[in-house]
Amino acid sequence: MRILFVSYMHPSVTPGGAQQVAEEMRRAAIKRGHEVFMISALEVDQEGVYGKPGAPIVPMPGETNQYFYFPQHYNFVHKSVGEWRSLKFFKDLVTRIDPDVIHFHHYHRIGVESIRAARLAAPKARICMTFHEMMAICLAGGQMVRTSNRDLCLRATPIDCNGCFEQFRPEFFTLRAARLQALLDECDDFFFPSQFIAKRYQEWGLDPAKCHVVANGQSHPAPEADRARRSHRVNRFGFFGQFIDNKGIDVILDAILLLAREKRLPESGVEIMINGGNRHYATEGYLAKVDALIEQIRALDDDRVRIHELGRYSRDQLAERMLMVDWVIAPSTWWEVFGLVVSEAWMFGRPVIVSNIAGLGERVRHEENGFTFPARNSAALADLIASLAGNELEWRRAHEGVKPDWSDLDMFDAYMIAWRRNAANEEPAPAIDEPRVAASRSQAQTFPDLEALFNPAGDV
Amino acid sequence: MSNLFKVVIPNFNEGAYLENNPDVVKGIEAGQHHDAYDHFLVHGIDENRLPPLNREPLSLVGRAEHAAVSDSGYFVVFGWLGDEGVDEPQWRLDGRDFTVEIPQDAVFRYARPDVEGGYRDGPYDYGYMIFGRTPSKNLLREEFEVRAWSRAALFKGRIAPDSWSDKRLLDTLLVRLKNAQSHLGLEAGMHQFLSGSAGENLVSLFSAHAQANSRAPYVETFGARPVSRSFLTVLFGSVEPMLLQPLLFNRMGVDFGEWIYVCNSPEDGNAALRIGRMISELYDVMITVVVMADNVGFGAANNAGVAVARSDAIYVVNPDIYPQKSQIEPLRRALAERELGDILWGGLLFYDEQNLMHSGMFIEHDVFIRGQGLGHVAKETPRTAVKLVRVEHFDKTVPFMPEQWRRPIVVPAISGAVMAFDRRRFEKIGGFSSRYIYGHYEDADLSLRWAREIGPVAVDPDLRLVHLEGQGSKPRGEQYRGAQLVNRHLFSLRYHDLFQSRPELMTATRELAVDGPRARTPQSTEA
Repeated sequence: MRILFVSYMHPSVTPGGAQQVAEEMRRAAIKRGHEVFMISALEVDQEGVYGKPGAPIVPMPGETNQYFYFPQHYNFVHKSVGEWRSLKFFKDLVTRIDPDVIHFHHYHRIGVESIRAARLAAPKARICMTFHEMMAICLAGGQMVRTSNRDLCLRATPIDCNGCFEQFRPEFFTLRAARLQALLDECDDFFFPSQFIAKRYQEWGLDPAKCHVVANGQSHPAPEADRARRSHRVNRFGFFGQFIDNKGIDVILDAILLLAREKRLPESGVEIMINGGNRHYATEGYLAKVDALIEQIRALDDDRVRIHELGRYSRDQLAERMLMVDWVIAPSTWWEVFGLVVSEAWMFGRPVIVSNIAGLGERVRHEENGFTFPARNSAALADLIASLAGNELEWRRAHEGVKPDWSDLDMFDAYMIAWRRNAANEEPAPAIDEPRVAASRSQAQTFPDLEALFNPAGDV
Repeated sequence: MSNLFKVVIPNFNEGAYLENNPDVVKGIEAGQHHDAYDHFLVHGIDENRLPPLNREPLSLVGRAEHAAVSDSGYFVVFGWLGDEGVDEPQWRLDGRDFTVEIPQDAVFRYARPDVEGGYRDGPYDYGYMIFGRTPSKNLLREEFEVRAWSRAALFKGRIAPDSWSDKRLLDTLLVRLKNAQSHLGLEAGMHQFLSGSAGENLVSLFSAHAQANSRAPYVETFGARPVSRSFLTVLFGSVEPMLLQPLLFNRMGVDFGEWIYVCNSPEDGNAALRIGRMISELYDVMITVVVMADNVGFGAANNAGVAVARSDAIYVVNPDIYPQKSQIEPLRRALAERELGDILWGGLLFYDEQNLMHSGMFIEHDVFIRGQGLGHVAKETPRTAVKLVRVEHFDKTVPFMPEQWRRPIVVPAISGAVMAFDRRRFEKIGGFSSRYIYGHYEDADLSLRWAREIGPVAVDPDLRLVHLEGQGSKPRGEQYRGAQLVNRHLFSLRYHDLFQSRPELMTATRELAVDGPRARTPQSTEA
């Protein structure tokens, strides 16, 4: 099969969830023996380095069958490529490739018109889209968080959207949605990494018959890593991700301060390891708040709590950073669509502590394969940290409860099932259930027996 | 007379006074006056009887603050005058070797809160703006003196005018009018101002601008083909509708033939051309982009669009008009089957899927009066009262009940948001009037002229569209609000006599008797 992936960005240029998944899909397709192409739409400010004069699409240096795409006159609000020329070159390239499947990962920067252009270029191809966030639904960066007070937004009504963007009348949002829905409807199938985001898009207006849920999978960067490794005190809590407002670093810091104020800091002590880059994406107010919280914690001058700011990390460093911690906290304060960090933590056998929200809450079941707490509730997180720090029993139980990896090949195979079934029958495929498919590949699905597992003399 | 102070005029010549004023002689003989000196003191001085009493006139306080002369010789003067309405002042501009007489209707008086605070605290319209045009384009291109006198008081203020383009002068006036306030009655005062030379000068100033910028628009057609109808949309300040309208109509299966976009903001021209080509290529539809040299207004821009249309069936559609799923079948039927004939057609416009926005327009009026000044001396002249028309909508926000909408309804006027007509009839009456500055009231004007010269104006109950007001043009500037205000006066002035003589034209409706075939023959004029 000849498959064309079209992605927003490329992980070799800028790391990020959507582009990483697209790249995993590309590599998995190659492993499965398919002929694979990829077109990655980059940002305007990257054209100077990666582009060529006068060329909206250029080959990716040193790679085969990979291209960088620079749509011109991009309209952020409408997710629209604003000129015919970019689309013409895109269409010409797709025509030459003549793929059987065209799979879009994201529509931002790529432009929703590119779907139509792909259809014109390859009328018989199966055209699909994986949604990685909610930009089409929500103009506030797709986060569904109100711009005025940071409250979580449940439904993007024109009146509510006007509340976030007073410069646009409610009618504008009606039209924006109608246009995006019309252009997205050009796709044969829609894929979502979680039930949560699938439901949001269906409520928004996408045809449920076209919707499938397939969890993001990924290849293991260090399969030889010792998944059972833990620190002596089992008290290292790691944050992984971007240093941005909605990722919730402040919730962790608040929880630590609360424990200190209430004199409940565990005797084992608590080490907080912040693995986060892209501070420049955070708002100034948020950064100031986080910095102030860190200063307050350091001012406690208490040996039982330490904060380490380790900065950004590459995928090559993931194993090292993951194995430095015992627990991974994902305290997101917004609708985390999937939670790639959970997959990464599980890959290395790290138990996770996550906000019980959206994709995170869907994937992590409290005291089964991790721990959850109400989103934005630092007091609840404080209780969890107090009970888990130094608790080797809970660590081992949760560690054993972590599901086998949902790999890049698992993900790709699930996509293939949907592509082939729909291409053959022209009928909607059932949702692909990540746990069910994973269970079929694993023999260790039941929750482990505590007594049998607990071994005071276990390796550390 | 005992309470009056004694006045002494040493050189008063009684004989000369009686010789120059024979009526005084008769008055003395009749016992009305004691003598010539007595008459002079009580009446003669105020009436400037001969021989005159030489006096320096009192000064009226005021300022000439700003003046400008445009390329074509239009001029404006802004300032304030502390006359307080004792009498209508006379106005004049004095240059070194010339005098320009200013008619009363070239002067608009309005409130100046800053003057009221600094000069005298009282509700009077101290502000003035003088607007007019001299035969010579260059006459006023030098320092001149603004003179205003009322009774025996005189204001003199020197001012050096700026040199402006016609457009800047027009826009400045519109902004000032839009922001004007008045203690005495804004609407009536403005109506007086616009009903004379100032109104005509404004119209000619804009018409000349519209004509000059409509002469050679840039026209580009993408995906040309024979078509049986032409959708026409005037854009201003945004090309966003081009991303939305053709796509949404196309995806709902509506054949719009060609879509002509007239771009009234040339700065958006490049984007319009880019998007026009893109949409044409993506959806295999015909898009024509017309880029005007400047904003020529709704009327002239539509006329330019009609001129390049490739069919005779024209559908004027505002940039905030869209199809709606629940009404798509009637819409397709209306487009496919309705014979346009000699009828100016409007449609049913909706707020949403359930509720009408309107079904045609009727014309109402409001009455406004003009008060008097602070120091006004009562006269027998009546207060000024003016009637301004108001265009209103039938069936504003009523639930849509399909069974009530089976036959076309003849109405006084239809909205320019959606209009369908045969181009030949449209051109026969000269198209949209360009007397209206920038936009507003051209639709009602066209309706009234159509009804008078061509045939009925009617609402097609199948032509159902949603009107998302505010999602079309993006006029950035107060001059457009000012133009809307001015156009109401211009429309009222133009049709005042008609509405007085035939008030039924303003509100009457009836069912249209059209039992003939609905099928329309193809009207393509170009292969």
